Amino acid sequence: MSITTENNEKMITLMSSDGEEFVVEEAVAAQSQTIKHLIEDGCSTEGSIPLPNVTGRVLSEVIQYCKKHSSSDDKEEKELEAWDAEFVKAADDHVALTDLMMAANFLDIKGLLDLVAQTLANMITGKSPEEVRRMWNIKNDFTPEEAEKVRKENQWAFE
Amino acid sequence: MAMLLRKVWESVSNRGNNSPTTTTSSSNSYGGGITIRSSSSSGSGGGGDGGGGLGPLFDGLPVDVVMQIVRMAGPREAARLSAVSRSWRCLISSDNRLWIFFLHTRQYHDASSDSVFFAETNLRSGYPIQRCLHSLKGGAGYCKFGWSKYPKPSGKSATFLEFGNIESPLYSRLRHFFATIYSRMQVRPSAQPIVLSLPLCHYDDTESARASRRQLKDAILTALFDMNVPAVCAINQATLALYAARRTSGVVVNIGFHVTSVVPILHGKVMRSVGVESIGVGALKVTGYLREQMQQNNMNFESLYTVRTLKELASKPMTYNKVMVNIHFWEEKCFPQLVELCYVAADYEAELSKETTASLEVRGDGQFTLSKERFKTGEVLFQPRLAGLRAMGLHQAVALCMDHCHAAELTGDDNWFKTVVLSGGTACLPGLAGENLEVRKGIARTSPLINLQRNKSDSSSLWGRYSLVRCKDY
Repeated sequence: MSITTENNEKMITLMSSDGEEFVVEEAVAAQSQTIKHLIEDGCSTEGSIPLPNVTGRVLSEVIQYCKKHSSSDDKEEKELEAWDAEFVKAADDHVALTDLMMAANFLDIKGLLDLVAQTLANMITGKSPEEVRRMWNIKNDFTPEEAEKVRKENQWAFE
Repeated sequence: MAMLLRKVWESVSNRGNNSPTTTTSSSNSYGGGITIRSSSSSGSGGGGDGGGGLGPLFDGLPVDVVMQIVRMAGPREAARLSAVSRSWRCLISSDNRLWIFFLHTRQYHDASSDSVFFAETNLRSGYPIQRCLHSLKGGAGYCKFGWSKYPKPSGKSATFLEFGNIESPLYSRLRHFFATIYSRMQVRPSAQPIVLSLPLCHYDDTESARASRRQLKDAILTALFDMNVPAVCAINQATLALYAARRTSGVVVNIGFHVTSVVPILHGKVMRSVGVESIGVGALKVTGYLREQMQQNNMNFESLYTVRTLKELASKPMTYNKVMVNIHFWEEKCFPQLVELCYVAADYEAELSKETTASLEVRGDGQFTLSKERFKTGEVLFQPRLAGLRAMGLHQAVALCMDHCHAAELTGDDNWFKTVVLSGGTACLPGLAGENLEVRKGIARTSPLINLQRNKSDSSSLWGRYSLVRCKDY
């Protein structure tokens, strides 16, 4: 079902995996290449678009991002960058960045995917393997000999 | 895969020349059809990508999404991540695309050659092809050969003695030579690709030298392909020395058997247009000069064994070639210890007035006692006239080469030729690197050296490089 608002903007309804519905402007939804293709294929004319891989919480974050980025095409890049930085910081409190990244991947929103990937990449920059393990709760399953070997192989990266 | 690796190799050797056209910025090409497992169901073990080893955050993510993070983190962080857990290691070291991406991305080039080094190492993993290798060392000296998977060459042969001068492109000689190598390695030529280093000869940028180089290369390739060798990878010896020092640009000083050459290399390519300097003083002359001095001082030696060794060398009715090889044997036997005895003085004139005596025991040959010979020997490289040779000193050749590099204006700045890499067994003489090239010999005046490196164990470090390049011939 498509609704038309007063500024003649077509509205799209997105449904998350846990049944939550979000009504957004088409231009906002079309930030996602996946949804854009669905719209082009005529899948959005009736009812809502189901997104079985994205929970409501994650979807609301994603929509926030899309709204900002669809409305600020001509705005200053710097301002948008600052907004992006704030966005990931805030999003980190609500949902796991990896969940956000997964959604961005599924919905094919390149900007968001790059943004989150860069944030995660920044998190490991300069950290030792031990610190990364602690930060992301990864189990060290190397035997001492293996650990030594891997470290030797990659000695240059530790210098 | 063959094409892929070749492409990578090209990118390594042409680095800096090609424009970054292949920057794959995102993994979207793979994103479409991948189903996503939610992270709460992680550890259910699906997908076969290593169970729960990436940690609870990442186990649910598609591999290419995880790789996106790694790509953005850069080669250094990627290498460190591989030490986090088995799954991370598996993910990072098995992904050729990742390292190809790093190789192709310009921003990482300047960072260090370490990333190139690591990328090469990792591109190799998963292709454990045994290779028969050999090196055409310096012409008349030795040829080393072995499997690239081993850290050291498994054998060497006195090339001149057995095969004559293989630098002259004589098909039958080369054929015989390679056949011997293959038979000693006990493999069929058709079963093993070969990596070989091209000798440093025919340096000039002239038409005739180019023709000679081509002729030699063609002869080698013809000989090998006639033996049904599946693939051949030929690399310049100086380039290998540079790679062994983890550089892709710089000036390589190779103290060879007959000749010492100073080779400018930019991005892995020998800059023949700039000019390769060569001096007719090599390891043979250095050792010969030592012998000469010892003979002159014969009476000073109390040990009869020493005299005998020298006498044997001098009196045996041998052909010229054989004498040479024998001296080389002698050098091989004594040189490891003599290296500790001999050195290059920081100030030759001042050193002459000092008392420097040292002796050592050579197994089977008794006691050698050296005094001024200790530094006079190495000095030949800097002052060839000491041994009655009319040639340029090593430091002058390096300075000249650098002047040429500077004048050629190949790059925006002069940094590329400020790395000097010394290679060759004689380069291990204490004092040869360091101040001698830098301060005393006046190179510093024209262009301050930023890096001066030498490959301590020439053969094995070069060998390491062979192991690295071995898969790039496909």
